Amino acid sequence: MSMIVAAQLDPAFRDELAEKMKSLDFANCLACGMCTAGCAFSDLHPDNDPRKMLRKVILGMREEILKDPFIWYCTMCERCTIECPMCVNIAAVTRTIRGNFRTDSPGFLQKVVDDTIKSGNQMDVQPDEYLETLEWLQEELQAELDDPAYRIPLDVEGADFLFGFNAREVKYYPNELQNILKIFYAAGANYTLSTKKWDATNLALFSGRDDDFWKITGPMLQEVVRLKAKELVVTECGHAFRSVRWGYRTFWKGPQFPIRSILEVLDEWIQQGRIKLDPARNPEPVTLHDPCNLVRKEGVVEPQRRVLKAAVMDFREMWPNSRWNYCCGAGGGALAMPEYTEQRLIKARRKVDQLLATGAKIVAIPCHNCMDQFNDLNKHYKLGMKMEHVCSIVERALVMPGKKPKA
Amino acid sequence: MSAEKTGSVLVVGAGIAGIQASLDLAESGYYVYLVEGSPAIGGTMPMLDKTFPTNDCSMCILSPKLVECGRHLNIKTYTCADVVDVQGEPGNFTVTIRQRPRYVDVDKCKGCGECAEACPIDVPSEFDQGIGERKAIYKPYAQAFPNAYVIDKENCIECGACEEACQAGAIDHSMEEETIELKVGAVVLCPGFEKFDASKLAYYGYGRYPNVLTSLEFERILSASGPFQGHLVRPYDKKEPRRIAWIQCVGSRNCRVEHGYCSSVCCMYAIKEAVIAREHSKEPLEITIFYMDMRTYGKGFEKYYERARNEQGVRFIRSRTYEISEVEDESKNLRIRYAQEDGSICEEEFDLVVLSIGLEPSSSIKELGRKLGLTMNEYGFAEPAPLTGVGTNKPGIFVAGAFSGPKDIPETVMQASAAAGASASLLAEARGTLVKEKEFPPEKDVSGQPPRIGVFVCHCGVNIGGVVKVPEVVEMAKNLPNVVYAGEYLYACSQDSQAAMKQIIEEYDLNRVVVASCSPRTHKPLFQETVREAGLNRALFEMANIRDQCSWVHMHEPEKATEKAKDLVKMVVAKAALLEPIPQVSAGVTKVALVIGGGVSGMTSALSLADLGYRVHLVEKEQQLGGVARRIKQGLKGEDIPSFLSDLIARVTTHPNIQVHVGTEVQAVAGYVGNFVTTLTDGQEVQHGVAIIAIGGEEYKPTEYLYGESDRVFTQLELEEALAGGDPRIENARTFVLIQCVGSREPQRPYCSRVCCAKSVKLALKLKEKNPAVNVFVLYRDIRTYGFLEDYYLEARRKGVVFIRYDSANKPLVEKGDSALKVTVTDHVLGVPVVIDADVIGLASAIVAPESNRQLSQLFKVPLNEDGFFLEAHMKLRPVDFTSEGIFMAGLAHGPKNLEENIAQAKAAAGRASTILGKDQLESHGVVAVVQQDKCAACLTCVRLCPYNAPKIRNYAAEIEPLLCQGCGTCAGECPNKAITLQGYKDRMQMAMSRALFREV
Repeated sequence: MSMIVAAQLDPAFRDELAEKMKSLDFANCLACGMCTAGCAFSDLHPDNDPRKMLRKVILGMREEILKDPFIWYCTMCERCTIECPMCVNIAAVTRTIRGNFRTDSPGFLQKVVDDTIKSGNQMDVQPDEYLETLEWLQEELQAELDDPAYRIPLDVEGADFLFGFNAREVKYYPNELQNILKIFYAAGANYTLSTKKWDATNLALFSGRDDDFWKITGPMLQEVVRLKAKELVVTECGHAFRSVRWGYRTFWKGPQFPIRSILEVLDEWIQQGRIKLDPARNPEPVTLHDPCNLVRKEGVVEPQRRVLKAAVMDFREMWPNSRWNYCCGAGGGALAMPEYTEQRLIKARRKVDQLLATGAKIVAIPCHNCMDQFNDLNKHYKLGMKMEHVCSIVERALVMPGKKPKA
Repeated sequence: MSAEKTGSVLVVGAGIAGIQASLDLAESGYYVYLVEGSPAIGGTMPMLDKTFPTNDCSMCILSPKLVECGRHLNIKTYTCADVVDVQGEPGNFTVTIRQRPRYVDVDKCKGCGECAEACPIDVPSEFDQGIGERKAIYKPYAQAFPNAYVIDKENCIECGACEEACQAGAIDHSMEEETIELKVGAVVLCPGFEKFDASKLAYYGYGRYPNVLTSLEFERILSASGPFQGHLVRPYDKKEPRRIAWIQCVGSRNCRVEHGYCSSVCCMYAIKEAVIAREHSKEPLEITIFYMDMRTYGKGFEKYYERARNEQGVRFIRSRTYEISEVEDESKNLRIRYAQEDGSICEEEFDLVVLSIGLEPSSSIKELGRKLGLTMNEYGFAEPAPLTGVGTNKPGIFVAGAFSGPKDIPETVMQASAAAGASASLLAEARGTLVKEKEFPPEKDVSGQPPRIGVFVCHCGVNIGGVVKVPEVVEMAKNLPNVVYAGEYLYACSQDSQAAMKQIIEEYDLNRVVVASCSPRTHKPLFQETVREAGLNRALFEMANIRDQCSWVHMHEPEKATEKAKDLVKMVVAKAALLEPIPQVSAGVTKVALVIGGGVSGMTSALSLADLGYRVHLVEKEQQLGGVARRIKQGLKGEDIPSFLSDLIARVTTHPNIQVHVGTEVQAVAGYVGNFVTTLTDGQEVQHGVAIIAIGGEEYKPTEYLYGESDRVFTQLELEEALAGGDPRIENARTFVLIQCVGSREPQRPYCSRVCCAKSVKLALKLKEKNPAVNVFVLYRDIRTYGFLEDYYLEARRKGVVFIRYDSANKPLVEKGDSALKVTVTDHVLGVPVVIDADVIGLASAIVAPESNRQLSQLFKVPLNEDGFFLEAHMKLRPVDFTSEGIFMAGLAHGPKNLEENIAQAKAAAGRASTILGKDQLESHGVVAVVQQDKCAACLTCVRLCPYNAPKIRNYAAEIEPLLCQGCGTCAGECPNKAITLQGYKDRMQMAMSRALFREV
């Protein structure tokens, strides 16, 4: 782009975008540069300046926007505009453009969405496979808990909460699901899993298509009603949590119920003394990553910190953290876009620097998406750190009621 | 409406606006109740170090007004008081005031400070923005009026130490809240503003990082009266900073925290603080200001900005910073990551970051507005009635200052004078009904009598007496030549001491009086009044300052201090022996005003004065009234200007007190304040007491951007006319380009024309409103939509107006294309040229001073600034006065302003003029210069030097008009033949003083 010819600009683009977004706030932009400085990645690789992208929108440069790499590079982490004085939300602009104007969905982003719509979960786990896995987990837990009567509650009506999780926990990481169910057992939780709709994830949050999005998240919320659960509790998956919360706020017309992260529930149980932890079992220094969807966007900041402080000996914050934390570099569905792997790993440098500065040996990552990125980083940047979900760390510290602690 | 109106006015808030409004009203014949919530008058100004653009010391320029306001016979001040209720109707309001207990009797307290010395409780000082400390019993600041302490009960432990220390018996812990009811005819609201709480923007770390300060905290650091005596150090480690950054728009232009408006003053105060900081720093200081649009739109501001940038090494970076983080070491320095305009990222370290915090209304202000049923805007500021400058939706209630939106001091003062003028007009029939006048006995003739001097030496509690051995000074004084009485007083200024002084003057038949005490600045008028009450001319009084200049500065050397006090008294007594009465010169006032210029400003001034009951001659050189406003169709808030104008013209032409002279100009001017005689070009001679110059401004005729070559290039006013007139060139156009700063902010015209940004934004909105499909591009250098005008800028962006910024080094290029005009400009974000085929180009051309300004400045002998606009007496505090008394200015003649601001200024000029017309007699200032005519060679030195136009040559010798003379002494000092003496400062007096100093007693 060497010149802009005003006669070729399309001012209607702006209006179309505003209509799709149901907001014109992006037009408030003063081009002040706060977002460019706020984006942790704008200086790491080309075409990553949110202000420039928005400028094209405001000038009506439809053609440029339709091929702007920024739209897929952006991790939609919202750091750039979390405090935008003009109330612009770059992540929302990006998402709307992705879902309504771009036709070049990269990688397998759209495929995952389509699969999820079809099978109800993003890993295309078939019902029999799901039930078999749970049955196997149940046997494992019966042994571990030394309780032959142990049953995983399925489709129990009127439970305190329905637990929504990530298909990866069934497909690839059943041991993690086992940890979670063990904690539930220790707490004496009155919960249920669903046999029908149990995967809370939704990649349409990143593809940007609202119709797809609701086809996936709508049934998850419906399931709470069907099973008459008092609330929905979501596993350590940032975008799953964001999806059900955002979908609930934006599209849900049914009965009202709370939606909480499992981290909030763990925190409550620790406060109430329903589960007991022995931090001595986690003596190594632990730092915490703040997934954007969970923390910046959905405001769950303190519970995971209280939980970790109860579960480990040496908790270390990285800097910046909480609302100001850097995205891991794989937000916005980046892991489903293999063609942009290079950019994803370049972006991760910010996170790598943060991690190294803490001197921690273990990184607590309350998000499945971020977890994949961290595992990649461990290899790519040879970090030699242990990447774990919070529940795994908690499980290690868990003092089972009436049982002798593990040796 | 009741028949009789009340001749008093309630003024709420005693910052500079309240003080100015009170003084103007009291001088115009109205009694004033001035109600202030805090324990002292003064508002924010006393906290500021210097003021822009003159770099005057803020306290120094304010202090005389504090004294004048505090002492005024017709201003009753209530501090620690709040307005609870206002009932009634214009002309007759009943006001309820809650007077909170001060726990110190203001009449008894002498402000000596012994109580605070004794008080064991330290509290962060509000005045020093929490950087310094005060006691639980305190005086807000040194020059405060009332000059009295106050107890902060929240922190007081009632230990009784202050009561024990107070020798004046002023402390009363049992004081209780009182309710006071007042009757007033009008209300002026000027409760000021609050500062934005910077900790609300967590990302700037205010409150967490010790080296992040607010701009007001920085003012206190710079101030000589501040916690570090003006030594520029960081409060955190008392180290001198080397790199300081200012961050603009903290709490302004921020929709997220519902402060979408621009605070209007921060750009200028940041530059000022930066420039002053450099002056305060011994080592070179690196200074950076992070900003979005540099809004130096006021008179003289643009030059101040250019000087800071080009000569004083202030670095300006156009970027809103995302966050401040702290460096992880002991320095606690700060790191700022910011984006440059090309998108590149920088990170820099600073020793200190100053947040330029915005202005907001306080919750109590909002509450007051609600209570009175005032229309408030969405931000909680008062919404003035359109095109009134100071009116509200409630008749009889007026606003001034930041209550109706953030504004700087000159505009605040203008609004204050305007609100005073508007209140005065409303209550014209009740003028003079409630004011008191001081009656003095006839002056004794002391001529030919040998001096009989009385010396009154003050202890000032322990302020003087604790250091200087007052009895020794008294004994010494008794033995001085001509002294017939010497005595000591605990507080010479107390009421009982004053009564004693009068009695002693009688008893000892004194004809000269000396008081050895504190500063003449605060106390001379008080003592002079006492000697006048005893029948002596006020010039027969003299003061020795043995406190500020002796006991305070030598408190650890009592012996030497006592000797110095004796010397000071000796000198003053020697001078006193030579004092002579100075007769008060007075003259009648022609209660007629001459207003020059029949535009909106001139007509507004004329109407205000005519409504006050004064006759007005309104002179307009054109054949019809209206001025440049005839070309304006819509005000900035969408007001219908043609109908406003025709209504105004009708009111002016039908007003029985106004005589309109159209097609006429001023030809000759003679006389002085109170008694001018002006000859008009039609031969008429007009006698008048005051003159208001409101001759307007002109639109610059551009030579750039193909203006005059293409009929599709318009000036802003032409575009407005064409738009309103349905011009087919506009009707059929699809693409408009509006170019800002045409002829403004250029080397030949280095000022901002102030109104054009908002005007272009409004025009753009109008074009979009007419046809949303048209493309409107605004090419600008800095968008200067200050105050609430910022809302229109936001609206324009939302409506799709495209704003592209250009640099003065890289201006837009306009060329003739095949069918349209081709405009090329570089987009400031994307960094590539934008080529626009424009059907119509609108040029925001400068407001320039008319050539006739020069002529009028010569006729009235009043100055112009280098841009050709009339120069006011003081940029801050006398924005409508000339240094020559009795002449005022309003409107564009003073400098570029929008219609609303011109109306306020026009009312202000009328308000100021009424302080002269309201008097029957004008009196000279007392100490004036006189010419010994036989020594005068008519060399014109004095004529040229006098800032007040007091000397004139008559019969080959200079003559000084005592009513104009301000007693500054410049002429006396410079007269090569020593023909001029300043009364009360004669050479032989000075000689006598020095002789006395070296003489043994």
